[in-house]
Formats: sequence, C-alpha cells, structure tokens
Amino acid sequence: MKLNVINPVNVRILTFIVALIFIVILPWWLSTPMLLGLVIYFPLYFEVLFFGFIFDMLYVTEIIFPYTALTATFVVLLAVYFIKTQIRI
Amino acid sequence: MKMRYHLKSKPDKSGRNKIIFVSVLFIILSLAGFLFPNALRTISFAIARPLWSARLSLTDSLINIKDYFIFQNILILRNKELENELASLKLKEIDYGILTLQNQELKNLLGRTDFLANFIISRVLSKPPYSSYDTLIIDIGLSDGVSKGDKVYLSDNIIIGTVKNSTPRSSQVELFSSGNSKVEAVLSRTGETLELLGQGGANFKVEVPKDMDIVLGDMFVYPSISPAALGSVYYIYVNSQSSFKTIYLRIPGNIFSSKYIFVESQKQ
Repeated sequence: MKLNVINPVNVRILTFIVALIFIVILPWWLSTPMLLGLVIYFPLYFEVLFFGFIFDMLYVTEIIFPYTALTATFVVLLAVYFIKTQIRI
Repeated sequence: MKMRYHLKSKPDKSGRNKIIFVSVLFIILSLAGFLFPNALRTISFAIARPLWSARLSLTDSLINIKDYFIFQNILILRNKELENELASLKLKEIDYGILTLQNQELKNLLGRTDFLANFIISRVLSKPPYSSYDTLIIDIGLSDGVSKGDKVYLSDNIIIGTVKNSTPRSSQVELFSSGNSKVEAVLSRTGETLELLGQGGANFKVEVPKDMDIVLGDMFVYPSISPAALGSVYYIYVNSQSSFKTIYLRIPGNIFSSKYIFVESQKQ
C-alpha cells in the first residue's frame, strides 16, 4: 500500500503542527507574518483561528470578549478570503 | 438557424458555506474560552510548556557561541572592568546588609515582627517579545503555593507585577506596566501618592501639575510596609502651553533579559 505523503490533507496537518510549534517558540513579530503567509497560501486556512485562540489562552490575563488574537485572525481570514475570491486566486 | 442560449449557471453557494463554517468555528471558540477559561488555559500551558523548555535549553547553549569570536585584548579589557565593578558591588553589598539589619530592627521596635515573606524563585518560561502582551509565564503554579494576586519581584526590592492566573504547574504574571493598567505608587523622596499608567514594555507615565516637585532619577515605590521600587523617572515632558507635565518612568533593571523572578507567596 503506497503512503501518499504529498496528499494536501497531510501537508495541512504537517503545517498545522509546525505552525503550532513556531507560534509558541518564536516572537510574535515573526509568527504573525508566518501565519499571514499561511492564510494567503492555503485556501481558507481556518486553522489560524485555533492559533489565535491558543495565543489568547497563553498570554492574555483576562479572557474577555472580544478576544484580541482570535478576533484578529477571524477578520484577517475573512478579508483574505474575500480578496482572493475577487481577484480569483 | 437555431439560437443557442447559455445555460444559467447555478449560483455558487460553496463560498457562503465556507464563511458560515468559519463564523461558527469562531463562535464555538469564543464560547469555549468564555465557559472554560481555566481548563483551556491549563491545556494550552501543557502543550506549550515543553516547547518553552526546549527553546530555553537551546538559547542557553547557543548564547555563548558569540564569545568565541571576540578578540583577546577586548576580553582582557572587559575582564578588568568587571573586576572593578565587582569590587564596588561588594562594598555596596556590605552597606546593604547593614541597612537591612537597621530596617529590621526598626520594624521590631514598631512591633511589625509578624511580617515574614515567603519568596519562591521561579524560571521565566516566556516573556515579551514572544508574547505581544506585557505578561510573563513562569514555571511554578498552584502546586508550588502560588495563587492569584501574589506579588512578583525582579529582586529583593524591585516589584514588577502580580500573578493573574495559575494552573497546577505554571502561572501568568501581569506586569504593572501592562498597557492601560493603573497602579498606585509613592514618590519615595516626598511621600506623595500618584497613580501610574502602564505603557507597556516596563514603562509608565503620569501627568502631574507643572509645579510638582519631581526630578529625573526620582524613585517611585509600591505602597507597602516594605516598600519595593516600582519605577524611576527617566524623562519629563513639559509643554509650555499646558499646566501639566508628563512624567515617564521605567521599572529598574531589565525584566526582559531576566531568567528568574521571585514570587511572594501568601501561603505559609
């Protein structure tokens, strides 16, 4: 049985694990452009919402809605999605 | 001649479904954060903690590599400077020991002998700029006797913040200098109490009347029986058109390069 490593689902899973490691160990001004790149590269990269959520859980002292990082990733994700559909990427 | 008409294509609803999916996911995560903050924080810390430890081990081992590329004469000069500084610090340490003893004797005379601080040393796992907020993550938690509200110190006499949240093995420390946070402080030279506004990055500011007696280098302390330094004045902005002046302060020492901090646990 051939193991298809280049399967897009496998790539996204691997990217998720690597991105999770990077957002924890890298400074925020490095991890933020990395996440933005992933949102632009992948079609509707909804995993970025989990990263924003984890960022808030780790570093925000008072969990009050709207959560800063989660809301920011939500807005950026939708904005990139709309722009990509308009310019048909 | 037959007329051929293009078939009307069905409207593409997959885009709208994707937006709905993302919005539902956002709502679920928001609700989860609201309903189970402590449990989710504990899980997040459990995921991040080994990564932080690995990063600290790696940076500790790599930080000395640059020293192999320094010229010998520069190292000799630096060594001499450090020796002189060490001799001066040893004298100051003796003075400090005498002053601490006098302070304790005065407290005994005033009847304040029941105050015994229980300091726990802790390793800093994460600090700015790894976080964009002015928070530190430390490697002690509820199981080590740390609880919410415990004061956190950079050294014996420099206070930097309080514990905001604790899990069994880690805690979140919010610095007093966090953006828009307010803390009362006493100007040690004159005794006046002012409310400092956090500016982030270990900085504070406060607006005071122009004729108020504050000069560069003045120290503000945290109001307590054993006052600890909160910040020192490094810049005063005076506008000729305003009747106020803005005082800028900074926490003494370098928080963001410290590997260890001290938590004053209230539990005996």
